[in-house]
Amino acid sequence: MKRLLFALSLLLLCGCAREVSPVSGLALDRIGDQYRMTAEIVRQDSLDAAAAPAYLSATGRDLPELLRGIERVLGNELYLDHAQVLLIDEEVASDGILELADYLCQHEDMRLSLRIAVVRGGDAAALMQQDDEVFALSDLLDLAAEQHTLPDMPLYRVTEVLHADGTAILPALKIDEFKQIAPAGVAVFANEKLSCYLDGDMEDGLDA
Amino acid sequence: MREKMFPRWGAALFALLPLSEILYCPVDQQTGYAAILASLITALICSGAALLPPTVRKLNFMSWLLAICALWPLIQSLSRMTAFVRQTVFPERSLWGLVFALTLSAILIARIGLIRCAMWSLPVFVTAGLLIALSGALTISDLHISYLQAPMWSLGVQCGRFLRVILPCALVISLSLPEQMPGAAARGMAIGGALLSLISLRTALLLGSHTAALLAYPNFVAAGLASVGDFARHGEVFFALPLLLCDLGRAAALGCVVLQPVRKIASKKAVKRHA
Repeated sequence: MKRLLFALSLLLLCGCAREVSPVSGLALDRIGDQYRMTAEIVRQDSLDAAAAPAYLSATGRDLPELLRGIERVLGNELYLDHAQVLLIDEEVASDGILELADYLCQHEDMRLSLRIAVVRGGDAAALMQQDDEVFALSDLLDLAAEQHTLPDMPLYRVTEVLHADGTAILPALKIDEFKQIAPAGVAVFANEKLSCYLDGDMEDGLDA
Repeated sequence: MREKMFPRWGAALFALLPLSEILYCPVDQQTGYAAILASLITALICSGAALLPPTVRKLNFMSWLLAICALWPLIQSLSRMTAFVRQTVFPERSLWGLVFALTLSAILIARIGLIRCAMWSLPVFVTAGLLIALSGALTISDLHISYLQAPMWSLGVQCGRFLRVILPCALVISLSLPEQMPGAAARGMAIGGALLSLISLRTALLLGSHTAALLAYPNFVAAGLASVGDFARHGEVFFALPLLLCDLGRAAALGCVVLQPVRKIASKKAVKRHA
């Protein structure tokens, strides 16, 4: 009897395995009055092959619509648990990031250790696609945070400080003259919006 | 041979009650204080209740009353476990399938009796305690002491919330134990309460109260930030498993209380038939 009940309970729990695509990074740009999200998806075609990134984009008015759009293009479910970086362009940062941070915190698949960085003077998607190595961006941000060259601000800390007084600092990145990703100072947020950069270089930044 | 309950088993069973709250309780800077206060109040009341004479505790009326009182905390345990498992592990599975599986597990464990439930709660408690300590130790360098707040009046509200969940369950179990164990109730509740308090404090100092308020399961999510380099990044899974077992142990102990009067009737009928 016990075995029968056990087997029955196992039957109730089993189901088809979901096909998911692991995401290693996301980039969010504003295009006119819409947003464009680009996801860096980890593809590994065989066991011996190295993991390579693939990029998919979708446009929409809010984050749920953007994520649904990418899933529609991809044909299966996005697995956001491995996402380690979210890049945002200056326009998104200037709109305010509190709503974005709240949404990401409450998303059941997103990890709170996700790092958000502002892309200075360019497209977030273009910067993410600059490097063809998976997790290269997150390694760069982790290392910079360890060496204190960029602020160590994972998602949970950003959300906390934005809620506390609306101010936050985030790492800024850019594509340098050698077409490589490089740290570009610190983006300062006041009233949840990008206010200025802290390295004193204002020519491609915003007004202080 | 008559089965005997050792005090350390009883203490472990009582310690499971605050521990089973860890996964579900909302967290802010006052939660740590509220948890320990509520656990100490419960320990005091349960120690007093455990001194009730055995003649009163063995009354038929008493066992029926306790069985009825155990039903609500039992349903509460099963429903919150189902919601947690569905939201975190099995979002695609049917709700009723999970309810059935968890209820079945609780009933099967409850059938072994309260003494054996208490015996099994000792290894569960030790495992949960060690993993809580490990999870706390791995995140200690990320804690923000500036988030720490002195106790405030608002902790009374949270203390009341904890008391509403822990006290009825602890009281029912305390009055249903086959032996008087005031010391075990006090020790178990104090140790379990201290662990609940420390892990809630860890979450508050790690995430901050605003971020924690956004999360459905803040202690669980905070445990996910405990990692050893690139290895074991999903610390929350190791953290949640023994705590789910704690809640299952709680549900099983309450199930034992619910089954007690039925068992009494069954054993009386068996004696009559034998005679």
